[in-house]
This record gives sequence, structure tokens and C-alpha cells, in this order.
Amino acid sequence: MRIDFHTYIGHWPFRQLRRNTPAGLVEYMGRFEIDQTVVANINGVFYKNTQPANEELAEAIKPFPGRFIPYAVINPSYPGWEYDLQICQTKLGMKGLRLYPQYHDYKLTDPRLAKLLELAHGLKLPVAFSRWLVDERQQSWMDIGGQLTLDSLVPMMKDNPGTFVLLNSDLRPLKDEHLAGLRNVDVYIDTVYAAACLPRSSGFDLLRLVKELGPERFLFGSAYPFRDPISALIRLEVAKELDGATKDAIWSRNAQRLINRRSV
Amino acid sequence: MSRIDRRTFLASAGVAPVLAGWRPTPQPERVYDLPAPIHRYRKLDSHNHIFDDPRRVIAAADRLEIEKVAISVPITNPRQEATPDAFRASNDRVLKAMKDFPGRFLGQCFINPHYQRESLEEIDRCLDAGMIGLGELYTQVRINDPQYFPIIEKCIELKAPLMCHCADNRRDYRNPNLAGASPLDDLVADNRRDFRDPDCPGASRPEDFVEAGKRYPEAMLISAHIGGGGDWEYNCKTLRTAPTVFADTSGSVTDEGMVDFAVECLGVRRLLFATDVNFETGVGKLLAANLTEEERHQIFFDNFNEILRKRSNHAH
Repeated sequence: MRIDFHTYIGHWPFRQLRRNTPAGLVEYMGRFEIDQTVVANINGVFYKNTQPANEELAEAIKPFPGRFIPYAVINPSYPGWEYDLQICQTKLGMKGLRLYPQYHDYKLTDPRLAKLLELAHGLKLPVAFSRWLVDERQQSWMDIGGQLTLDSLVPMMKDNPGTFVLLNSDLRPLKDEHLAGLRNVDVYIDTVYAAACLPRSSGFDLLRLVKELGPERFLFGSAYPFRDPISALIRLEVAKELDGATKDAIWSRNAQRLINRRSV
Repeated sequence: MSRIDRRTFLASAGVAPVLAGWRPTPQPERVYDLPAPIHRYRKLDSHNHIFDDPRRVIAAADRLEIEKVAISVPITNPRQEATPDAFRASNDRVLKAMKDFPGRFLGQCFINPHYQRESLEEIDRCLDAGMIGLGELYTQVRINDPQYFPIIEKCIELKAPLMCHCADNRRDYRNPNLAGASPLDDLVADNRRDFRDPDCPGASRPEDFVEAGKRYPEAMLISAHIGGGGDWEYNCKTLRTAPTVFADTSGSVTDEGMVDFAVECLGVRRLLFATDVNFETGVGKLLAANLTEEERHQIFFDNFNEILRKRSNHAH
């Protein structure tokens, strides 16, 4: 079983994406034997009112039952998000949230975010943050998205209840206090920036972090269709030191635990 | 004697027919089965470093079955001057690694063109000792600067490739004269990194490679890391107009479609496989590209091997 915890549909305004539809993702999944993907609609990053993006996503994945785990994009700085959140969970089948404070322009210490995290925790919805959507060297001058750093993410996770997912988690710079903080919160990290070869250069030393934090914290992610899918696969392939059980956990078991948490 | 003009060079080098060439349609495998594709291609990594312990670099190359790794130790810290003593020390590290791992490392000589006499002497020293060319020349001097001309002419004489860091620090491409920082930097001020350092005027932009390539069409100039030095679409579209300049595929950026776009703009023959310490993604992005088997062999191995053959140096 393979689950990709990090994919998208929708349009990115600054670069053409290919196969950025459910049908395109199903093609990707077929080629790489991925059974399910966790998906959100990029359009929600750019809509002021994000809810139509969530409705678009729910509608778009209907022809592919069982293949997609939809995550909603919620903007706590725009009115009515509490109602949207309820609808996303009760009517649209969303299994988690992706938040984009870099684009929706609020800080991780914003009380509106604290309220959202509390509600999400009550609904047992994991909340995902992305360090960035595109590498800042690739950004258009019109792209306002900065980076979220561990310096701000770790205290936010410590100060609020909930289950968190870090996407695009290039962990540089990873400090001891970050590691200590990550150990004490319920956080999952995707493998988009993980490396087993020469990890000191990449920042995300997969072998070391699996030892430090435990294999139960990691999720296979590709960031498709932003990033190429084979780089994602190779990371796990060449990590020979990880045993079969650890790789199974990263490939699917950890993701299944998150996906099924409401029915537990 | 007058210098050969670009049109004559292109015709004699057979580049023009390649640029106009037809590409067969790649047929992706229906189901992708790793690790077989990793084994399938011989690989020469045309751009890497030994900032780390050379043994770890070899271990990483072994995981991905990379036969030979081109290495250099550029001085990348803008606050450290790349003096002759400093670049000689860098090159000594490379020469030692070549000796410790015979047949695995291809040395690239690092110099600072600002120190012209010492640089020319260092090139002789390093190439006589078995290095294959120059690299990764960094942000001390832009590649179209007249200080570079004697260096490039020396490389032409020695039939040695010259690989140089390519970076566009602007992000805001609307103003061609804007150096360094973007007007939006206040949004990422806490995360400022060297590549957007406004005090880095020596970084070579894609346009600088075009200018140098037009001045020296017979040189083997390699623009480093299409996935590492700035906007890759901007980079590839700019380099399209420099038909004798090569580009390597390294850099930490693995955007889907990046290599396909580079092939569309530059053609397969001008692209060189490289990792620049990003081993998994360096291989992954080429495996993911929409290439035929033959094209993948060319980029992973043949194109750089062809460059090495010019000096009969470590070539196969």
C-alpha cells in the first residue's frame, strides 16, 4: 500500500503545472503504484473566500471514489470560516486542513489561528502547514509567499492543541531546540525534502530524524504536480538503512492512522 | 588571425542541425519500477563538491551508481576573499581527493579571475596534475567581465571546460539593472540567504553566459545548475540564444517539467547531468523527464564524456 500525503489540483498563477487535475493525479498514481493521495486545491491559496476551492475539489474527485483524501484550505482571516469548516467536514468529506498563513497574511501567533486550531482539534482534523509552495528562487515578483520556519512553527505547535503536518519541510536550519519541540508535539513530516545521501547538505537527514523522532512521524510526500515524482520515490529507495517496517510506516501506515482517526 | 565567427563555428561544429533536429516521442513506462532505472544508465556527475568528507561523497555516489564525480571546492562565502593562497588550498583538497579515490573524482580547478596571473598559473598546475577543467567558478567575477577573457582563452587553448555558478538574484526581472534584493524582501527578511544578497554583484546571470558564449563560441562554457541559481524558465529561455553554452541539470529545485523545458529550449546535447550535492533529486529529475532512452544516456553520460574526450582526459 502506498499513500502520497502531499499532492494538489488547481492552477498555480506563476507557472504552468501539468496533470494538475484528479485525472492527471490518477495517471500519476497508476504509473507509480500509489493507491491514494491526500490532495488540496491550490486555487484556495488565491481565492479570498477559500470555500469555493474546497467545493471545486469535492466535486472534481467524485468520479474517483477511494483514490483521494481531500484536505480543505481554510483562511481564518476571512469571515465565515467557522461555518465553512463545519461544511467541509460534514458535507464535503474533508479529512484535514491545509493552511497558508504566508498567503492569507496572518501570523502563527494570530488569535484567529488559535481558534481555528482549537476547532480543528475538536473535530480531529489534522492541520498541515507548508514551509513554502515554491522555492523562493523560483518565485515571481508577484508571489508574496514567504517561508514558514521552525522558529515560528515549533512554538505554535507547542502552544496549541492538535495534530500537525509539515509539508515541504526543508528543515534548515534544524536546531536542538526544534528537535526537542518536535518530540513533544503530535507532528508528522513529509519526505519532500528528505535525503539519505549526503544529508548534511540537504538539511533533512532522513536516517537521523527517523532515529531522533521515530518512524511514526514521517509521511511519503511528492508535492506533485509541483515537483517531479521520481525524486520523491528515490529518497526512500536509496535509504537502505531503513528496514521494511519503517518504510511501510512512511509509505502508508502513518498516513492511514491520520486518515482514519475520526473513525477510531 | 581573425577569430572564427559564430555562424562558421556552429556550422563546422555541427550544432545547427542538432538545434533544428527532430526528437522522437518518448514513451514513458506504464508502471515505474525502481530501482531498475537507477541501474540502467551510466552516470558522470559534472558538478559536485567535497565540502563534506570525500568518503561520504563517494558513498552517496555509490548509492546512485554514479561512476565519476566532478568536484571542486569553491569559496562561496562572500565575506571570505578568494585570494590565490585560498584558491590554491581549495585545489589542493581536490587533488588529494583525486589521489585518494583514483578514477572516481574528476577535479575541477577553482580560481578567482581577479587575480589573473596567479589564476593562469594555477590552471596550469591543476590541469597538469590531472584536473579536467575549471569549476565551480563562483561569484567573485561575472563571466562576461574582461577579467575573465584570458581565463576563457586559456581554457580554449587547453580544450578544458569551464563551469561557472549561474545565479539571478533579482526575482523581479522587470528591471534588468536591479542588483540583488527583491522589493518584496521585507516579507522574507528573517530568512534572507546569500543568493539574494545585494552585495553579490559578481554573480553571473544567464545573460552573462550568452555574452561570453557569443564572444567565445569555441569555448566549452557550462552554466551551473538550472535548478539552483534562479528562475529556471528565465534561465533556459535566455540560454536558448547561446547555442554553444552548456547547462547542467543540478540544483535542489526539482520542479516537474524543468528538465523537459530545458530540453525544449537548449536541446539534449547541451545538457549535462549533475547533482551539486543533491544526489537523489539529481538523478530523480532526469529519470522523471520526458526523454527517450537514448536522450537519457546522452544527458547522464555521453554529453559530458564528449567534453572530456576533447582533452582525452578521463574520457571513456
